[in-house]
Amino acid sequence: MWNEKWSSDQISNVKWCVRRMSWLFFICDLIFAIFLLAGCCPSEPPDPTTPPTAVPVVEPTAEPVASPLADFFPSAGVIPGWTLDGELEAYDSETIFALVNGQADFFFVYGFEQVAVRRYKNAEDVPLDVQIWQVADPEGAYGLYTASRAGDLADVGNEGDTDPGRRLIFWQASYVVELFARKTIPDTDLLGFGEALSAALPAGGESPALVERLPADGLVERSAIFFYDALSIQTEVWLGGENVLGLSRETGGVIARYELDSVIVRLMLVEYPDAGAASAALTALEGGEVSDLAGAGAQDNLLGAVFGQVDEASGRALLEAALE
Amino acid sequence: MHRMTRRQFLRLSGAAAAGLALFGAGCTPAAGEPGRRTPPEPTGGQAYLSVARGGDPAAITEAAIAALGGIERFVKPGDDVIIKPNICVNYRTPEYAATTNPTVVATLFTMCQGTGAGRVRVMDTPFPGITPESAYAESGIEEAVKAVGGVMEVMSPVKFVKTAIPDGRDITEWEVYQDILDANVLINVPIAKHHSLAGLSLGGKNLLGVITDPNKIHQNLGQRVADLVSLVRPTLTVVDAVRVLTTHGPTGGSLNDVQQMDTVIASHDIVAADAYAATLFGRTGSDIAYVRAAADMGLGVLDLDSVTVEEIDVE
Repeated sequence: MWNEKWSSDQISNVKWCVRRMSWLFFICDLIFAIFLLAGCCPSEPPDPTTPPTAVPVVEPTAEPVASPLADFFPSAGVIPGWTLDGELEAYDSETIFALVNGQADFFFVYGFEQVAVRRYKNAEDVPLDVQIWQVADPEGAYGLYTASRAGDLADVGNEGDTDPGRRLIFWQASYVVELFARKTIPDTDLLGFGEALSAALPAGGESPALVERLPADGLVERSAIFFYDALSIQTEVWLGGENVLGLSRETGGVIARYELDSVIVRLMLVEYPDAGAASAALTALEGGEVSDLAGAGAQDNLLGAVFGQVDEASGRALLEAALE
Repeated sequence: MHRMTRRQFLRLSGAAAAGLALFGAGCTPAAGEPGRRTPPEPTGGQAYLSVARGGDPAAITEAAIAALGGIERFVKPGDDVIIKPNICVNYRTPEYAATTNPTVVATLFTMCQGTGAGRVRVMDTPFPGITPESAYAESGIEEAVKAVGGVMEVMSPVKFVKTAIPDGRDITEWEVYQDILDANVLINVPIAKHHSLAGLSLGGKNLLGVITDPNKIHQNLGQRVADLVSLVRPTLTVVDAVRVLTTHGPTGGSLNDVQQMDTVIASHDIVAADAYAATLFGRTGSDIAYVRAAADMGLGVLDLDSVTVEEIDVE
């Protein structure tokens, strides 16, 4: 024992030092506490430009959290060889930034309500992340799904989209489910998870009626995107970064690709609450500097526009067919 | 008599130290001063902006820097250098083009080390709630940097210091990472990718990784990013466009959204670098609000016809 090798004076000196140091630290902490109480470092004042959806980030917790979506996730072993890894994570409109940060608006425009995430892993320790997104209504879910499509058709839920063995996304009722494997896994496992999730979720949900107005001739299969905001379609058409069309949750729009004479063009339809709003949007669109605008028109509360290098007759025919 | 154990002593010491550290972090006067770091203008035959294309990410990175006059134009012996890639998430491997190409980062690290720099560090802050360690690993950047003898540095929460932004038009102060402001050299290495809110995530947007509360920057994003650029002023911006995320950004998730472009863009002028990178997506710099705002503040050149652009094909 170290104190057996020291003299009693030495030990007394050490104890004296420790006592003095503990007093010193106590005083330091006291100063710090007074400093905090006095508000020497005031928190940042509220930002008047911050809209209601912008909220402080809440760090996700490692503790298990409750979520109404929890019961939709398959239990361990439902898909043979897969176990749960970690606890369920749940995010709402105040905490979604911790999951997707700057991509949050992509979900907000479709009426985001909540998302829950679970991770599974197989015997090779390959992680599979499953996210269940709940939005306000089936139209929003359909829109979010169509804006997320990137791969092949999958027969899961109302409709699914997949990169086989890596990614699967589908929509059903007011839900969009995305599964992402960090490494390629057997596609049967991926689809098995999708089918189990689909069976657990509420059924139903129709695609918006506006989508049915897209003329069938020349339509590129599965290219339609249903949207409420230009940010959902900015890689299809660039509207200048401004809301020239007056888009909102009160309007619904669809954009789709068409192959006309071996040229890919885009047809966009937007439904407004009334004819006046559609007419105003037409004026704004034609008066703006939107590149690739080949032609536009309005019929009652419906705005139509064609984008791309298309001959005038073909473009007009497509537009008229859509606005009929 | 109360006897203090070693463990108690250490705990008390730690608490006091933490208190003092917080005390200092909260009340230290603003440390960032615009103009402290000035991106070096080209001289002689040095290109204003370089674009290198080829199948080897290391070779095109080296070629792009060489066209600017070499890394020695930006890094001097003894310099404290920070390389700031985009490592935003911990759930995308490099081929998904959500994070900067590891080889580009490692190549820059090696080049900086070769100048005799005093210290070269690689760091970023991922999305809130994601641990840097997990993001560093998943991005492949940690492995690539370690392979060339470097280490990744986790950005310490206590080093984010409220800093004045004198030229800011919307934000006039923010908490910025102290070391980023203090470093002699900041090499900004974004990946060029789609971003659903900003349109594109490029050099200016990449600087959101050096501040706290990036979500608040997302309000009036264009001007606020430009305000941040006015403070941070990277010495060099190297845009990784080896693999480009064309849609569903900033995180993507499908390889179908990724386009192989085998391109690296470099310039001391972050605005010019971003403006050129925007053209890879069929846009212009003025289409992107933060690029346009930064140009409007005089932080760089938007008109690429007015500067020397050297394009190199690397076989």
